Amino acid sequence: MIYRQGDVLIMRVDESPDDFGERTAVQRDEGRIVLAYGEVTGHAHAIADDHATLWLLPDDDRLLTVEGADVALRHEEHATIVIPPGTYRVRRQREYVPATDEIAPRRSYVAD
Amino acid sequence: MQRSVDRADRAMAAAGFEALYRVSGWRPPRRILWFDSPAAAAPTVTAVREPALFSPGVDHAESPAVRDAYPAPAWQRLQRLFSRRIRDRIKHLVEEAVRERGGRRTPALERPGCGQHDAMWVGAFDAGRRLFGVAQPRALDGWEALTRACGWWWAFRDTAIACERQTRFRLDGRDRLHALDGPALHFADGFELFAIHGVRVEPWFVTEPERCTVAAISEQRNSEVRRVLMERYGTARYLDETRAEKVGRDAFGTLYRLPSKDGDEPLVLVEVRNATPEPDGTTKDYFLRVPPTMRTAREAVAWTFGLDAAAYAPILET
Repeated sequence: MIYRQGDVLIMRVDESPDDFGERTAVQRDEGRIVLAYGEVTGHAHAIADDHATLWLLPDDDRLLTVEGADVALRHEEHATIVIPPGTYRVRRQREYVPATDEIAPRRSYVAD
Repeated sequence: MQRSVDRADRAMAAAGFEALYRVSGWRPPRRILWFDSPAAAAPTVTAVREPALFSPGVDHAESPAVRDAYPAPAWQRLQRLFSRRIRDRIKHLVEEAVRERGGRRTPALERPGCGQHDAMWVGAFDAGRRLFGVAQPRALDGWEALTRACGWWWAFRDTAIACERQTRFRLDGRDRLHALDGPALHFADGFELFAIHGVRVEPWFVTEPERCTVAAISEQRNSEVRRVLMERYGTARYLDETRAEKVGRDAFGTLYRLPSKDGDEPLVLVEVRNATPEPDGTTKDYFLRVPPTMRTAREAVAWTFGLDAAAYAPILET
């Protein structure tokens, strides 16, 4: 089960959150879970419901857990996505940056 | 701190050098030479025949002693939070510009203290101290003072060399040097560089955009420069006018390929349609650069989310 809202992708996983190793809860921003901020606009992909948590994993990936009831992922410019209870990986769209002699290749996030 | 365009605080810099030399077991420098920019300082830096002090920030940040003082996950997180990206990008571009002005490469020249551009390291150590109680490296006091006081600097046995701060500094939303109304970085002596989204470009790309034509873009050897100029020109229009090869089209988008020059990697772009229409009912397309090995638009879009083509099948897109 994969959902995409703009440059944010949410992918359901079968594993339990505990299978991903040590994880840290990401703090809410003004009460909302923010999956990604827009770079210029100040817009955000965000969940206001209480029964969801965003976690940072050791491999830098992020995990979203939704417990009990559906939550709504909202964004100012995109239609709302309803996410049922479960465990999800959260990915942000990246762009390819070619390697050069002096700068190693690295992920670069696209503008929102 | 990093963005400051104020004049350097020379007294604070002098105190910073003194502290730095002291913890290194050296007496304070006999003289501090001031320059208006790294480019102006470069000939002197390469000419000094004295032993050089290490650059404490980077050396300390990468030393096992510092690393091992943190719990491993905390260290990884700190590294991510305060990546060297901003500093290294600026350093890389400035060094390139210095070299072009005839600067000789010497080990000392390539290991500056970046002054205000080292700000994120000072932040990282400060966070380490507050969050994990890790003691600051002793050299950090002087180093921090220099970061707060001035631009780039070098420390030799008797001679310290310091630069004034930049007089103009512009970044985009992703902390890359970027300005479309003038240089992204400028120093009082006129040393400056122009950059679009972190890619250094010739001044006319910024100051005379009307000269940005298909022919001028196609002449660019560096694919990153070509990319930022294409965006400035309009990627869709450029691909259309150059008759770029359409490698494939599927439900996920369209994959384009522009051949390379001089062995450079080809530029492969996937055009993706935004699922949610704009307020006026039209849909916005956008282009993402993907690795040259991509064969289908689906594979390319999947890659942008770190997935295999087979795994990528969104049930809902907005």
